[in-house]
Amino acid sequence: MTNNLTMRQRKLVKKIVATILIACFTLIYMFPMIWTLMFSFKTKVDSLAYPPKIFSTPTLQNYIEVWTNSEFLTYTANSLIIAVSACVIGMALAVPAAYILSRSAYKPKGSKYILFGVLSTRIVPQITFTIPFFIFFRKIHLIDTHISIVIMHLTIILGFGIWMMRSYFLDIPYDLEQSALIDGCTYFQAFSKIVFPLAGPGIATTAIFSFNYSWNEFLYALILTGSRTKTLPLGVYNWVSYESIDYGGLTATAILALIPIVIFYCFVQKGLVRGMTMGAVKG
Amino acid sequence: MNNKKKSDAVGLRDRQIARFRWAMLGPGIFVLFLINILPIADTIYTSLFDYYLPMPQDQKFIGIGNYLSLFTEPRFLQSLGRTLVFMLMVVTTETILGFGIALMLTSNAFGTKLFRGVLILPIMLTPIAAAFMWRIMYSPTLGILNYFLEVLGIEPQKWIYGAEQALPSIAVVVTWCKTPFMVMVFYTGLLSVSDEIIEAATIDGANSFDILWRIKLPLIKPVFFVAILFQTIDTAKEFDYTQILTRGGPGSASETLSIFTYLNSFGFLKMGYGSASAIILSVFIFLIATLIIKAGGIDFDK
Amino acid sequence: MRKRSFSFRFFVMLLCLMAAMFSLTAGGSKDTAAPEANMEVGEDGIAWKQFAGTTLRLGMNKHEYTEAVKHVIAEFEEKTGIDVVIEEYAQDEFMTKRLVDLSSGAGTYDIVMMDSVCTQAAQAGWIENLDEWYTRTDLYNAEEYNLDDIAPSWKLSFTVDDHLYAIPVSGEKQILYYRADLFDEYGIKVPETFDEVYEAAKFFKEIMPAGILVRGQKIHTVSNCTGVIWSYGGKIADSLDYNYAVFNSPEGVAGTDMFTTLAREFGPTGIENYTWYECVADFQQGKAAMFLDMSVFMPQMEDPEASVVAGKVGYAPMPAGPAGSKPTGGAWAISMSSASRNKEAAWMLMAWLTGPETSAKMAAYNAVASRVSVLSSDAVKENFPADWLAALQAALAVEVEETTFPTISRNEEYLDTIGTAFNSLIQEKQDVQAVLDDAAAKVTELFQLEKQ
Repeated sequence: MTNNLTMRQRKLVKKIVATILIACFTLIYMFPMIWTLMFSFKTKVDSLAYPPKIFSTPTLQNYIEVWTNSEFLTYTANSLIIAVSACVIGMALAVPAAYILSRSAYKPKGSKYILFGVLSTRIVPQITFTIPFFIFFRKIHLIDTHISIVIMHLTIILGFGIWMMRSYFLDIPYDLEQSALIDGCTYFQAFSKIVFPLAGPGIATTAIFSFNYSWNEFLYALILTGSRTKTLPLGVYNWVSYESIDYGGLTATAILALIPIVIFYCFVQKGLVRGMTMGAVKG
Repeated sequence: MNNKKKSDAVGLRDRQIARFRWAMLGPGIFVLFLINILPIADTIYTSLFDYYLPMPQDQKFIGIGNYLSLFTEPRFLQSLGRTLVFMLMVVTTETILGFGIALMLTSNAFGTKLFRGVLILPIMLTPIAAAFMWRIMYSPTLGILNYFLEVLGIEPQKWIYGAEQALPSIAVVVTWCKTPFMVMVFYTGLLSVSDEIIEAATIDGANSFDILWRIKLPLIKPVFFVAILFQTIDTAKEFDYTQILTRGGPGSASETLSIFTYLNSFGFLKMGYGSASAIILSVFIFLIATLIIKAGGIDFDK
Repeated sequence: MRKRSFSFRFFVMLLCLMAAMFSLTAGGSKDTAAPEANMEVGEDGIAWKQFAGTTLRLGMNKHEYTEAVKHVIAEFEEKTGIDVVIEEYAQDEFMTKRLVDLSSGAGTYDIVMMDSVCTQAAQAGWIENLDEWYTRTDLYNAEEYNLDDIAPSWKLSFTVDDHLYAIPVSGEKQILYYRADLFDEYGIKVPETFDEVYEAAKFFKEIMPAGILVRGQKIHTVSNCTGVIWSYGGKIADSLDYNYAVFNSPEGVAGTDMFTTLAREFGPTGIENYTWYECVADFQQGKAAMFLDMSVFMPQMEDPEASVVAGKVGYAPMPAGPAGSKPTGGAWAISMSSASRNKEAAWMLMAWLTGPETSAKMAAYNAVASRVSVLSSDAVKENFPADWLAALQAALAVEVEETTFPTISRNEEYLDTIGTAFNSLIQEKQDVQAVLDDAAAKVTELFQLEKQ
């Protein structure tokens, strides 16, 4: 009887099966996330009960507590200032640099060593940096300011950005720029008008991960912040006290902390998809 | 005369290029090296001293003494080995899983956009929260994982609370959190392969596996290896998750090199020793990075 | 190419915006000039207002005590005109933060909470010798203060070279938590000796996930195991001069054997990496019959919002070994950073906080006071379960020969070394003597390193 199925129907069945498989996988993969979400709606007793209470009467208590008992808004504002600055400045510095390093026409001699140098800044573990940096920022009175943390995050974002963006630029053929140059564009115009838009998906992906890094970074934020510049990850840690972990407050803060970054993601995502359709043109 | 004009023009062009080059490249490189060079130099310098933080007046220069004693300390060597194993476990799984998911998302199933949006979430969850959540999920007496095992009739496991399973269990957590990065990178790479090429190949009689293996993969290779490179570096340095999940325990069963370094610098306050261990960790990562660059054929002269 | 997903102009505009934002936030902190000191002397002969306008920063651990400080601090601010900023962090984070601040001489905090790293900080000159400050009777009410009232065993932990470097504010002692309802139901006697603990733990392990809970993780397990070693007649070091380690004596071996056997045989699965978070959660969820640890966790067990066993928990003094019941303890203290720029004001606050009057007030907010007089006051009796208070007081009455942790500078390294030994014994049954001999040799080495 299967022969009676038209090509179209068979395709549809295939599609549905694929969808179900993907859905199942997603459900399993996302379980810890779902569990986190459920924790944020549970009372303290319920959240740790064993056998686990899969369905318990949801409570908004944790969110209310986050809102009233912690300086959630201050943390969010701090995190936003820091992550947006670090991401934008990082991209502004990394994208042009990566472009130069990806074009044999422009790159300086010894660019290989520059690339390795850039990589090594990423390689050195941050733990050893904290004390020298703390002393340094202390001397120039930048402890407990946003700038100091942005600078620290730049150390990570720049290396990552330059390498990622370089590999995306390598995918874009040089011909397009060349013809633009012949048409009378300046070097910079060829970059900003031709290459930059084509690199959209790459820029979006790199920006998302840079932002994400800065948003969630913990160790530098711990060392360099004070009462005025505490960021969200420190806010999450605030629910861990001497004797016990308040999982309700912890998960509720973490879930709330997801919202801005998801918004940022959606915002950049638009550029990502549009850039991708553009990218298809390049061939 | 004509010749001279030409060479003038070339000279002008060279100067223009040079100006353009440094205007674009300069700021980024300058900022990066400016911020990094001093702490790196400081770390290397400190690593040559026997320096106990509370007694700075007693520090003395011992040359490579710290490095020598590190290489004779079994605990250090073990943590080095553990770091390697951990890195291999995480990066391999991440790559395979990430690539699989990316393929899944490029299939023509319904709602791939939604799945893509959802599957990226783990990397956005604050590592602190993710680590604490996994810690309670791993709890042998209260955790949901052992509950699932119980339902399935499997004996409860110790997870991060047992010496044998601690390191793999941490690897699971890190993989879970970081795979979305791989997914995103591969996915963007796969999508950017133009339809024309694929169509052309299909007409030539290539099946979907051929298209994937012969056409898509080589095209996304540069991004692919850069992603692996950065995941490797980050995994080798991984600290937050391990510190929250096990603090290197039980015993030293999950003590990786970054935990060892942290313990020596911030716990025992042996700054010279800790710095030396950090330098070795860096060199170690650098060697592996070079290997990956070689293996991936990341071309510097392109 | 007109329609661009990423307009370069937009990108540049964003950049300018950021630059503008920075110039706004970059103001930085500038200390406001202190107004003319007000030297008006109060009834008690102290010019309370003399530092009005000063800002004091407190670096605190997230702890019940910090909560209590928050409750009473407004009174101090009003009395003196000093602004107090409390920065609190979870324990591990707090320790990192404190270390960076103290060791760099930054002086971000005027007052920091102090624990077993006191010796290290004192010897390094990071914190002030308080003996000198106690002579500043113009800054606190010396007549009422009565330093002797603060429990001596806790003060000992913060005494370095016979000088007090930190004032204990919140103390804890080892006690035995047990499920009173279960012990009743099965007719089991509340254990008074370790042999009875062994029998009870064995019995309960049969019917629930854990007969007894202890913290098993390397560093965590040290304080509890030390108490058992003491109770079996052993000691950690030869004397308070710390020449060599003696915990591998026959008594030490017997005590360690008992402790690690209890944990290994009757503890929950995975006890070898248990910290107090796991212990408290397990006990709160009714998964264990007993819990041998510090007294400080009682409010967690009695909190009906977090604990299913609230009201069903009994508290007994530390069980006795052959040498009697010798509980260890721990305390948090407050100390003054040597890099503080407001030392006099800081001392004013420290003395005020630890004075008898404020201590009594703070006891009402669940902060377990370090003052003996407060611990036996009526107000405290109403606040805390009677058997818990009795267990704590019994522990306080015990004379101790040495501090819970040796008062040496390399405290973390000590904990790691001895903790590794205890932890490996919890992981698997081994020759206790051999493991301890090995650890003792290493600890002796550490002691000797201190002498140089």
